[in-house]
Parts: sequence; C-alpha cells; structure tokens
Amino acid sequence: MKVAPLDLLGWREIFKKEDWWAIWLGLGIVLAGCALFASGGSLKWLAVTPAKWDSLAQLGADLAANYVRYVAQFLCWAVLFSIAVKVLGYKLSEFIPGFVFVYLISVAIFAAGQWTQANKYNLEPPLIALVLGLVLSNAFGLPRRLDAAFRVEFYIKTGIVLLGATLPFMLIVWGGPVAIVQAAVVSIVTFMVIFWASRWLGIDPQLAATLGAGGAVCGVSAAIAVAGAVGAKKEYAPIAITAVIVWAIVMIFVLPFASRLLHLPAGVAGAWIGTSEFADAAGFAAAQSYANLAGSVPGISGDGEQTIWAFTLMKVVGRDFWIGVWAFVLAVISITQWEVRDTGGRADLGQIWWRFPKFILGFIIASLVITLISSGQSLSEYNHTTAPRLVAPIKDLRTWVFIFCFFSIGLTTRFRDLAVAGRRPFAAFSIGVLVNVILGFLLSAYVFAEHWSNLHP
Amino acid sequence: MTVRGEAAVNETARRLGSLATTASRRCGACLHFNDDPHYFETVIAGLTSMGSAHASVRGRDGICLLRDRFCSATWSCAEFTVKALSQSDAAEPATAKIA
Repeated sequence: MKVAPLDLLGWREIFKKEDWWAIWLGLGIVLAGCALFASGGSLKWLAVTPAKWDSLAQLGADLAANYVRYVAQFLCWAVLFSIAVKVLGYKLSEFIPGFVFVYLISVAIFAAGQWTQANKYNLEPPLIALVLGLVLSNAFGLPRRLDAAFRVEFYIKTGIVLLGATLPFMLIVWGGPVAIVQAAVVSIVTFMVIFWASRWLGIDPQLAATLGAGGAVCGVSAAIAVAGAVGAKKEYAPIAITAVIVWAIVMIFVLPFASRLLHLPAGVAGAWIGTSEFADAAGFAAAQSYANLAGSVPGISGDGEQTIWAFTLMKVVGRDFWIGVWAFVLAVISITQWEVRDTGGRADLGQIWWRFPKFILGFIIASLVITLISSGQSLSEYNHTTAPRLVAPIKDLRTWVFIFCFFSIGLTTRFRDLAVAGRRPFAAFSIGVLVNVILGFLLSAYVFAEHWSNLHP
Repeated sequence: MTVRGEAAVNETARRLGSLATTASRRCGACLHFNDDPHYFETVIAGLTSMGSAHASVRGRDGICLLRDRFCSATWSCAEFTVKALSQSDAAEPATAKIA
C-alpha cells in the first residue's frame, strides 16, 4: 500500500488558487490592452457596453447594431473563465450553461442601468443585479450545478486586478497610508467590541474571534481564515458567515442610501463604505451604486471614480492586506491563552504569506503598468489617447465583471441554506456593526474628510 | 471491501503510521484531514456567497473529520492515522515531497 505524503501546494498554488487565476486573467487583459495600444489598436471594440437610452426602440437598435461585439466579448469571457474553473476542478458542462445565463442577464442589467431615468428610480445596476439574483435563487431556485458559474470571489478579484489599471499608482502611495491608519483604528475597535461582547454573552473564544474577524477585517474570507488559524469548530465558520452575509446585504442598501441622504462627497462615501462594509463583493456593490450617483444627482460632489478609489484603498489596502497578520496574531493568542490544545496546533509565521490575498499583487502590478505607460505624457495627451484607448476599455471590462459578481452574490445567497447564527452570536456581531458604522462615518466624514474629498491622481 | 478486509487495511495503515517520520505525521498526510475546496464549499454553508474555498486566505487549512475542527496541514496530533493512496493514485508515482 502506498502512503499519501504530506502534500502542501507550494508553487502549485499559482494554478490551484483563485487569487492567482484572477491575476493571470486580469493582468492578461491589461497586458493585451497595452500591446494593442502600442500597436495603434485598442480593446475598445471588445469592451462594448450598452449606450444610454431613452426608449426601448433606441436600446434595441443599439444592441442590434453591436451584437457581433457582444458575442465576441461573451466568447472571450467564457474561454478565459473556463480555463480557470476547469483547472480549479469544476466541470465545463456545468460552468458554461451557468455562464451563458449570467452573461445574458448581465447584459439586461447593464442596459437597465443605462436608462436615462435609472437614477430617478434608484435602478443602479449593482442593486438590480443583487435583488434579481436574490429573487431568482430564493423564490424560484436554480439548479445547483449552475453554481459553477456563480463564482462571486473569482469575479470580484478579477475586477479588482482590472481596477488597478484604472487607479494611478501614486494615488495608492498617497492615499494608502491614511487608508491603513483609518482601517486599523476601525478594524481593531470593531474586533475588540465583537470579541468582548461575545465573551460577555458567554461565547467560546474561537467563535468570538471568528465573528470578530468577519466583522472587522474582510467578511467571509476573514472568518474562514481565522477559523482555520485558531482551530475553530467546524460549525463556527458558518455561524460567522451567516452574520456577515445578512449584515453585508443590509449595508449594500443602507450605506449608499444614507450617503445620498447626507450628500456625502463621492470620495468620503467610498471611504465610509470601505470601512463599514464587510465583504469585498458586497462593498463594491455599494460603492459602485454610489459612484453611479456622483455627478448625476444634485448635491453629491466629486467624481464616481473617487468613490471606487477611496473604497478600494480602504478595503483592499487598508483591510484585506492584513488578513495574514490578523490570523497569525490570533493563532498565537489561541495557542497561548485559550486552550492547551492536543491538536498539535501551532502559529506558523509563514501564514502571513500563505494567507495573503494574492490578487492584491495583481492589482498593484496593473496600477504600476498603466502608470508607467502614461508617465511622461502631458495631461492633454493622456486625456486624448491613453484614457480613451487604453484605460476606458479596461474600465468597461471591469464593470462587466463586477456585474457578473453582483448578480452571483444574489444567486448564491440562499437564505434557507445559511446556518442558524443564534441570537447571542448575531447580537454580538450586530453591536460591532453599529460601532463600526458610526466610527467609520466619523473618521471618513470628519477626521479624514479633507483627504477623501480631494482624492485625485 | 468486507468489514474484515477494511479492518486489516486500517491496521496496516496504523502500523505504517507509527513508522512514519514526524514530518509526515502532520495533519496534511492524515486520513482524517480533508482540505478539498469542493468539500469545504459543501459543508460550510454560505461560503460561496461572498467567499470561496479556493481563496488564498484559506492557506493550508482543512477540516479534521475526527474532531470536526479546522486545522492546518502543518499541525499534528496523537490521533494521526496514515492516509493510504487510492489504487488509482498509487498507480502514479507520488511526486510531492514530504515536508
């Protein structure tokens, strides 16, 4: 009999983890765009989007005129994602029908958002996508095999890498430190509040830590990372995930709505959403909703991109970046304070790297690549050539992949499947949410308001 | 496989386990350890909604089926039971290194 060896992924991680595939796909698109740009071409033809419309006849004419471009775009997405999901172990016979469905509905969602009256009725594409997905999955139900195409995390990570290409590197350097300071304050306070509220309610420290990380760092990803680091019971992660999902979905609607009521500048709202949303995907849905309002709704100053930039700096650079450190610190505390485990558990310093969300590397490289290409150009040259021929098509492709993600959030959130969080864990998490939202607002709208309002490259 | 046959395989596996080096007695090589992403996404309710078992943040974690707890592939414990390769796996040379 052959004995299975200890099989650590090592370098094979670059093919076996979604983060790396998001890098390959995202950077591949960015580099293809750069190559076309250098040879006088552009990704613009492929990055087709529905035009603004007033009447259904106008929309129909636009879609009919560009149907070849949509077919080509669909094929490109389908091929790229198929390669990745196949290597990740999914069946193409399940992925492809699911992706056809996702793409077709995404075209409809994108088109609905381009209606000239959409803002008036709050028909923001992220919100339409989310609500439609929730209704389809909870009221009607879809075949489970289609889930292979509802890869929320994969889509959002690919979108974040593409977003790097639209975010000047100097903005990361300039805005990053403030984001890290603000995120650190909010994350530490929120974690401590959830943790001590949980302990006060008699909850096990491992569950308290899993809940705390879910609310303070990066939602579901943090909950799963910390559950592993502290050796939590299997049922603890689903409890934390339920609390995260419920509140994340509530916040997708509440944060943009409250920001609109308060007429927060675009960058300030982005920073607040980045501080107070729990998961990347949910946060981008909220930030994208507000970004669509900026510039088109009276009273909201700033540019929609500022909302996205501020959100990204806060969430990705300020919070996601540090998940490995959180996991390591909590692993040390778990082993030294909470129990003398007979599991042989130990706090590997290496997990700071193992758990590092690698897609952030792709995001930074994409930003560097485009910044280098545009360096030395005058503003006029950038605005007339690089922006429309290189950056704008990447931004449009980013919007597509975000819509795939937002729709997939709804499709995969089946409330009846979620674990019962229990009153005490949910109460402890909710106290943390309250503190997080208030503190995030004060820091974004008052303490660092000047910084976030003036977020320019 | 009959019950007696299964017991014999388990016994052999235990004996092999006792001979294994300390390094190879880590959870990642244990019969009770499951780190398959598809398994994770099946047993952790809601994971795919805003997360993924294929994410880097999961690191080297799996679930100990004996204790029903999360654990890392690099941990070890007294309950280590050597995992035998299936016949199809065993037919191919094992290339992964023992850490």
